[in-house]
Amino acid sequence: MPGLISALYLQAGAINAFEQAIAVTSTNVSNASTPGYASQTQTLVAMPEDIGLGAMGGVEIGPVVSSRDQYAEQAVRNQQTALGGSTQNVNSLTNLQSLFDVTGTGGISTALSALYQSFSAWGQTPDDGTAQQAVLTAAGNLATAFQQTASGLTSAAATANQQLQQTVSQVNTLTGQLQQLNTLAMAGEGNNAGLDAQINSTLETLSQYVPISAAGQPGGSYTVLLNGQTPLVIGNQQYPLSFDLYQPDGATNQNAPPLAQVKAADGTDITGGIGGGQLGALLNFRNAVLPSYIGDGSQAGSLNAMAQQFADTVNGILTSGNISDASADGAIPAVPGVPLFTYDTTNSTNVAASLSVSSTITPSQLAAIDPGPPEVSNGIPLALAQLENPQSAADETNGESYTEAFGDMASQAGNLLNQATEDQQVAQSALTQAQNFRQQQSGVDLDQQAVTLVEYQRAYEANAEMLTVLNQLMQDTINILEPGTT
Amino acid sequence: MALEAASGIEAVSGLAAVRVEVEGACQSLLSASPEALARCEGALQRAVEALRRGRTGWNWKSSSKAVRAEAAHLEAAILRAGRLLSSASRYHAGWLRILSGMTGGYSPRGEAASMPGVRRISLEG
Repeated sequence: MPGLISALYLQAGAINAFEQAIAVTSTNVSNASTPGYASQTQTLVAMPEDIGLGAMGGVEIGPVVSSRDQYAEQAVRNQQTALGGSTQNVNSLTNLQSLFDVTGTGGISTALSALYQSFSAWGQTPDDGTAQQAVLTAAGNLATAFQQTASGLTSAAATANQQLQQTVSQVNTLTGQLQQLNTLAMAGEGNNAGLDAQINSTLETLSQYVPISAAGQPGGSYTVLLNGQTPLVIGNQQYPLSFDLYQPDGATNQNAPPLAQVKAADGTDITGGIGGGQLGALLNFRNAVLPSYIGDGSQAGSLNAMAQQFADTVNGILTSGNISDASADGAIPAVPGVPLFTYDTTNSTNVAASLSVSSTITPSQLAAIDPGPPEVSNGIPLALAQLENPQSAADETNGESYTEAFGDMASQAGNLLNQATEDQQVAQSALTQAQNFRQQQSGVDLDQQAVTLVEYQRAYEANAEMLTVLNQLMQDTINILEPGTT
Repeated sequence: MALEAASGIEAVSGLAAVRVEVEGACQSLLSASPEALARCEGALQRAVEALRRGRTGWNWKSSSKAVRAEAAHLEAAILRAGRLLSSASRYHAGWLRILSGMTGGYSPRGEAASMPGVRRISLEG
């Protein structure tokens, strides 16, 4: 009889163990499409069998083991961060590029070209009121184009501020959720596969916004650090970020547009340490890309610098000329020219936005006479028209014409966008790659991995060598390409 | 003139064929198993050979806009392959360090022990 009872006991234990295993498998199947879920395995433990000692053998259930690998998870999160950053760059730069029309149908380049043409036409008939009026109209159009571009850039900065505020709020919402999930884990739910899935799914979403590192703790909670340094969540404690605008200490222009700043929960400025993700890309756009055009506390910005230099050059040429000659007997002196453009001289970052044609100038006040010697009756309009194709450094800005300088500004925006688009495509592929690695890694035998990794090493070396040769060949090929005729 | 145009077409289609090989390598790198990496090496090898042949065989004089555009596409594909190869390599190098630490421990300076040599026997015939 004891033998029969033992057998029944063993059978019952085995059935219980396999029921548990089936339950774990069933959970795996039902969560197959749950974001962040990693399959679980029910381990079975063989019990010792020694009749003499009363050990009856059989099978008992061991711990449930997750196939989740934190290294693979972190690799996916890193690629999510890269993709989040490049996607944000594409969005921001697409908007920026639209402000720089180089198609010749509008914007600063078209207005600049029209002004040069009006100078040339005025040079043909320097006393013609219609030609003079055309110069004032074209100058007004150019000023408006500068104002509109500056306004577009200011509006882009305001949008970026709003997006930064929303992104910081989103980060805080996600870290708040992680804090609550950690609290559940610490309350004894640490082995709950569903909870673990929720935590990892939230971590992956968070990594699109900011670069994070997440370390699993005993008990199932996670410590989340921003860029490996700033705490966001530790145990059941959340460390929220904050956003504001500020003027840096070293700013020489206190009236300049402020910069964006992100602070850690303890008030430390962590703006420079964020680096990647949607938040990092937004900060770079707001604090580096936009100021390069519209300035900040320590620079005027290329658009303002160009507007100021162009206005000063045109005004300088006009005021060096005369509206009318002195009388032959010298009783009536020559009437000197007056400036065409005005702008806010108190704030170097407000030049483009405030550029306008002087409200007091009339067509007949445009000075055409270059007093020389020798005096040239249409010398001033000719000198102004010459700005289109400068013959001297005085007529250039940074060694090139104003048209070329604006083209550079526009192409800088275009190049940044092209680069960002390329980065986005690569980041999308790299994310797919990392997700595939994570998939491959699940439940792999370590000994098998050790063998495979040596094969990987050799394969990477061979491919890297091949790619280097290909890249060199490609560069040589590009160098031999000749300009086409079609 | 007609000969030049024909050469231009040859260069465009030749560069496109090289690009297809490089994009195939990129596709292999998405999974980056040892087998896929071997396929990737083959694709890159064929790309190198085709480009090497094309540099002397195709006519690059007065390269058309289409030739330059295709060259730019190929350059982007090579860049993408390089980025994918480097991220995959970094991933596996990190995994190797972890496995080395798990199997061989760490040195007194905190570096992962080197992975024990893997000896394999190959029999043929």
